Amino acid sequence: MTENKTLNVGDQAPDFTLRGIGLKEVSLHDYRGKNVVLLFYPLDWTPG
Amino acid sequence: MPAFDKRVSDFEKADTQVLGISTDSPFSHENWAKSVGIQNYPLLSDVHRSVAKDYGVYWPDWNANNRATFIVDRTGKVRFVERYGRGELPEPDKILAEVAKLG
Repeated sequence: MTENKTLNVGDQAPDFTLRGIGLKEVSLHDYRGKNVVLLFYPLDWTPG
Repeated sequence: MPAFDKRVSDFEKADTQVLGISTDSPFSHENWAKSVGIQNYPLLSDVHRSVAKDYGVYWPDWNANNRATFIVDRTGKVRFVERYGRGELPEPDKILAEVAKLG
């Protein structure tokens, strides 16, 4: 995880578990069976 | 992103979950979400930058992540990737159209 890999179409999406607001844990695999849109954005308070 | 927050119900109709990810803390997320009106999808905190690195979007200059959108299908496979330059933002209509292609 120290290297910056490249992820491309067709690759398996790496699973993750992260905390959100209220310290609630959310994992990618929670949504298996649904499509998931991951919106990476640089920092809070940036446009968008 | 407020533009996506307004469209979450459209994504739900397409059986699609929207997740926002940055390297900010949950406490920062909470304040930002309240300020800009994001309430319909989770904002997640990649505080260790591990997800940014796994997805190839780590931005060393700012110890943060670049702006990018990934669509993951029902089986966990990446089906769409879009990376953004300075001033570029993801468009909900375009991402919805890509989701629709997955059926």
